[in-house]
Amino acid sequence: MSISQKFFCALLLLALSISPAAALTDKKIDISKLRGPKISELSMLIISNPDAQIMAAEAGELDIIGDIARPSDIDRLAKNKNLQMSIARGFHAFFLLLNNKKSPWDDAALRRAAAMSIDRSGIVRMIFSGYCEPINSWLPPVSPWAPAGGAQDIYNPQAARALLKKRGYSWNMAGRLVAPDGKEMPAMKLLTPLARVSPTTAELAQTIADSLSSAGFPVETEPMDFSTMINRLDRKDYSMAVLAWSMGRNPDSLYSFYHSSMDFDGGYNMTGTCDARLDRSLEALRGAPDEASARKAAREAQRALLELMPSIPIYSRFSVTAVSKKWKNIFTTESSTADNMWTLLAAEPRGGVGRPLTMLLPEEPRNLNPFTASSAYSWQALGVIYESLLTTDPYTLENMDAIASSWKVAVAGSGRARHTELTFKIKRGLRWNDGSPLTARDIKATVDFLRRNKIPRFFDAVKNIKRIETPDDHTLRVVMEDVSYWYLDNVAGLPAMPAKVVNAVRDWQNWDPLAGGGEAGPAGLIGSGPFMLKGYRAGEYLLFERNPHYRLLEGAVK
Amino acid sequence: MNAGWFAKRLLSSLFVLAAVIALNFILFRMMPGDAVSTIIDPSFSPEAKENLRAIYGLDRPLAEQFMIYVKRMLTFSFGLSFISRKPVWEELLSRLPATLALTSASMALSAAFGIWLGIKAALCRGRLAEKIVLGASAVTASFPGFFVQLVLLMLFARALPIFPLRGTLSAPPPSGTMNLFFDYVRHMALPVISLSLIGFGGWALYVRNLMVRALGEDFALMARARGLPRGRVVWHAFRTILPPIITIFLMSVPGLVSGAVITESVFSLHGVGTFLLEAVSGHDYPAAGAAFYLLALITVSCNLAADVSYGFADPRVRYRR
Repeated sequence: MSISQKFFCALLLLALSISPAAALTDKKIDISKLRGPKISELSMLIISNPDAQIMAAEAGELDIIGDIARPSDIDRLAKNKNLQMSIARGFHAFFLLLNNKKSPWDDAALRRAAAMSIDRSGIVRMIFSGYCEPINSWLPPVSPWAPAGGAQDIYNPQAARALLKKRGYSWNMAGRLVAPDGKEMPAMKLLTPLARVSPTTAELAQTIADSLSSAGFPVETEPMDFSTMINRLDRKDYSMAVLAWSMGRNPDSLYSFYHSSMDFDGGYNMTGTCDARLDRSLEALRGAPDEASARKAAREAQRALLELMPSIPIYSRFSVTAVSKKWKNIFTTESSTADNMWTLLAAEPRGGVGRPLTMLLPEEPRNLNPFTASSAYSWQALGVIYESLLTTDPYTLENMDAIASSWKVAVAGSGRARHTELTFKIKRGLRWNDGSPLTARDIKATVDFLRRNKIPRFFDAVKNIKRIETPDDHTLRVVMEDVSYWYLDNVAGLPAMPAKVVNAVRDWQNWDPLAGGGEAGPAGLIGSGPFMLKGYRAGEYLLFERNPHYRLLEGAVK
Repeated sequence: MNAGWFAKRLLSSLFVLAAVIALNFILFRMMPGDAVSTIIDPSFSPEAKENLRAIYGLDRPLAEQFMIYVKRMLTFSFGLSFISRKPVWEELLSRLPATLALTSASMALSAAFGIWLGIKAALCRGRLAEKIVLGASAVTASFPGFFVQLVLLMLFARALPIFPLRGTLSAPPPSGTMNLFFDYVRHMALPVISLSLIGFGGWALYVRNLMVRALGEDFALMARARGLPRGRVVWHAFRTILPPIITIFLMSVPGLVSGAVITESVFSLHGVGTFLLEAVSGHDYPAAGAAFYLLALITVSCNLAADVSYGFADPRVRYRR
């Protein structure tokens, strides 16, 4: 283990020691026996100013403040005696994109050498104060599909130099790389967002440029507007760029980013990767018939990526949350900080005095129409109202039951007619928050509505559905057009809505679910989640009250 | 004032509006990317993106988009926001109250306080009072607004929790009209005070300079020589500087509705300013187009009103025209 790796490990231990999961909960919570929500009211305060957010947490106006990004804020809140911190490995990853279609990055060896020239641990230490981890994986290391050892720093300037020398490169008097043909490597621009918009990313880009320059790559940063940068990436009019995005737990996204069929203007294959071996493994991954096949294909795809190095993984940011010590039963895991659904179910105020749990909403949820809501903040609110067939086990990140009690993925048909069939068993006794019974026919109506209207947000999840059958009130069978194990997550992750609601929607784009509310709350926001909307004032707050028919309440399901 | 001048002025205003409409469309389309291209989500396929682009109308020829846009501007029917999928009017109207409350109150306070201080400074020329006013005005005018606001937020919402940290109402809001009103005032106090604190200096300096010049005019000397009361002399001097003050005041009116972006951001206010910022950064063409068009309309109208009111405030201008 190198010195930097040891230092990183020490930092990681220090960071995690701020609030290991065990410190936030009396014991590991058996989620299969969890009953809740124990709180009767939940409020989300809309505070857009980061400084005001921190002050509100310090002042006790917020009980939970999630996704704290600035290291200085983390340190400040960690010192507050009224708050406890939770840190979890996250799904936000940062990459150095390389244009694989343009010299010199059309050489895989050169890309690998560049990857070994970047001091990731230094970045973690200097820029993020340890609140992230260096990665060498194209999936978040916390994902169950990521390879073992994905969280590591492969910084090794000596090895990089040796690799370059082996490939015939040399260095001139100024330390600049000279290609085997004797020509100096031309200057390259590293595209980065403007510092005033994203100061951390701009600093990071400069650090990467400096690292590469030290290795002989003539790299300079070129700050620009984010939209302009994306436009250039779409057109492959770049050499290098830095980009970060939040990834899911599943590896199917690798197909979108690195398969040659996605290499077109506006496609997600912004690196222009085109490799037959990688394509085969990604196709096998996307079309895997079952979990075992998917795992095998995922391993092969990631091995191919390691050899190709089409982009350079840099770090994965930790998720950091601050929670008031006035609350107990705060739920955290390695991959989930305190601001999760399980906390909302289990949390109780210390001393037993009932009061609303108040959490931060960093931006106005511009849209509460589930058919058109696209922002994370809208779904932060909608997510406590709606449920889906399956949810995610917070410990293993595998699928677990929610509305469905069991599920099966099977392959039917033969030859070109082979297709995936998903069968879900709906739990008995479930009810919507208005008290009406929840059945398989509601789920069918919801999915059919999404298919019929080709709603963009759900388009990809439902476009391959051939038909949906409901043999009885508690059985849902979804017949797909072709074979893919990932259809399970696509379908099981859709929000479930009552048939009577979706069937009454005439114009999904202009639908206002808040109109015509009655005693059961807004007429349109009928879900089966733990909470229901009680009040909403734009720009100010959202108030929720406990759904009396929620499936995990004591005695709710008979 | 004659009808010919007014007609010419009105025609000029309409020409400006037409130019704004065209530039509004052209500039946004010239910006790289659009509301769809910046989506980087592997679960949102390029096919779904094209579907969304069609819903937004971005797949239509530019000429067709322009015609639709012009029709919307002229009929004040601005369509749906790309981001919220709500009618643009609905969103603007939901944000106007907070913005108007903030900007009108702070403008009134800063103008009133600034004008009063400016007059006092002019009357106390050469004395300590003037130096204090000049110094305070220069300092407050030169400090970055967000810095002042953050300091006030830290002092009076955190260290001394007299005022709330955010928004315009408590969550949940108190019951009763009076309680609701006082809750609203309490929430808006700090933003209004901070904005007034930032703005009064400019008014004070400007008015002080005008008053010093006016008090030095022959008519003021004559008034004093005739033995008129000091207050009456001051009023005469103030009367002469009223036209430019009215002009500046009217030309500040567009700011009432455009919002104070930074202030709204610092205090987490649901205002028009943040709406504009989000519309531009998110390539929300309907929202941004509508907002800038309305701003231009208000600006042109206020300029026209300033010209007209100038004539009423100064009879010499009226008779000359």
